[in-house]
Amino acid sequence: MVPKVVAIAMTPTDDFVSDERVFTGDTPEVRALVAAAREGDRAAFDQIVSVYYRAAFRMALAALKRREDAEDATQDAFVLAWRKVSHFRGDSSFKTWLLTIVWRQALDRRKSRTRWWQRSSSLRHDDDARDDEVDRLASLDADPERRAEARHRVRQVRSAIEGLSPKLRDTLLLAASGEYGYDEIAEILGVPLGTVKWRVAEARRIISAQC
Amino acid sequence: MDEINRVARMMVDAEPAVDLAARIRARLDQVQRHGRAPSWWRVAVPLGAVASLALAIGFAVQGPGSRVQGLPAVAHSAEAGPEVQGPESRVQGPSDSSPFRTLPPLRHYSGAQRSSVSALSMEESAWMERRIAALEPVDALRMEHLTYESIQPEALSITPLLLTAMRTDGADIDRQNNR
Repeated sequence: MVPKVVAIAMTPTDDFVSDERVFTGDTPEVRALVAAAREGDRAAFDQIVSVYYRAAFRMALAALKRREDAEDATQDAFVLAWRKVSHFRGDSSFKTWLLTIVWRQALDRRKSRTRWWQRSSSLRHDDDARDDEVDRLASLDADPERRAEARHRVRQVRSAIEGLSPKLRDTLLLAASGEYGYDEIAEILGVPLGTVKWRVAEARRIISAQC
Repeated sequence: MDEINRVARMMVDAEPAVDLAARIRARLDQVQRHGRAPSWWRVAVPLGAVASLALAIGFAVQGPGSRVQGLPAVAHSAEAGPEVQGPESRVQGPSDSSPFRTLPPLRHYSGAQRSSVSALSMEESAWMERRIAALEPVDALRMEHLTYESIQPEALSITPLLLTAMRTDGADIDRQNNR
């Protein structure tokens, strides 16, 4: 059920918007590179890779959680984008078009990841990585007691985020990464802008209730 | 930044491996070198369509009669040796007016006379001999030989039900307590 107070709670915070330039579409340089790549200029596409591979990796990581899987999905996505760049019509920004491909590759990989031993190995790997991240976040506090408490809180919030439904979790993580605006996320996920805003608010509400 | 934002950002705020961009370019080089991998769907679907069309044309050309023989018509058209009449009597009906047609005489192929296209192996010949009459088309206009006695159930026998009225004591007395 969509909450009534949508207009007030849906305003994205400045914390999620790191660089306004990122969300205003392609820069002229990127447009020139895309035009060249559409003509088959491989060097131009290599430069596009240099521009967007980090954003693509983080998008894949939001879906897959494992670095190796995210890197593989990113590679597959760029290969597919290279094959299809001549079909890019310019209806959306090239970044959105590219990240949509990345997202779909990541989701396909996530769906195919059904083998239990992969899950168990990924959980062990992620636990080690997460502990480092938790310590990094918690170490912001100087007091040891408060640091331990902060560590516990971080773990709690992280578990709550991972316990969300995939739709809510994906939207929250994409919004939190700071790489994409809500309109870009809406276009990538293929949902209305209001749905993105609602999902983020709903995810935050559920996490707040649990923690 | 509140705690949820901070933790959520932590979960995705990772730097890729330093060589990821190089690996992507290497993959692109590989794709360019080897070309696009064949999409098997684009090959399999037309092939399947052509094969289905060929089968349909083949059946249409042979006609419906060839179906009862169980083997392609080409198997019966080759030059052959002496014909074998044996199997016919086994499949003939109880009377001359049997709707079951007699099987066509089998052609016996000696080893020297076999052609590469129409050869019938021993196993195939044996199978042909074992064909049962039911595979032959039944002449629907000649069904008088079929009787129904064998499948009719026994006639139902209905025994009249004898009822004896039960008489209980005090049945005709009005009861004060009606339950």
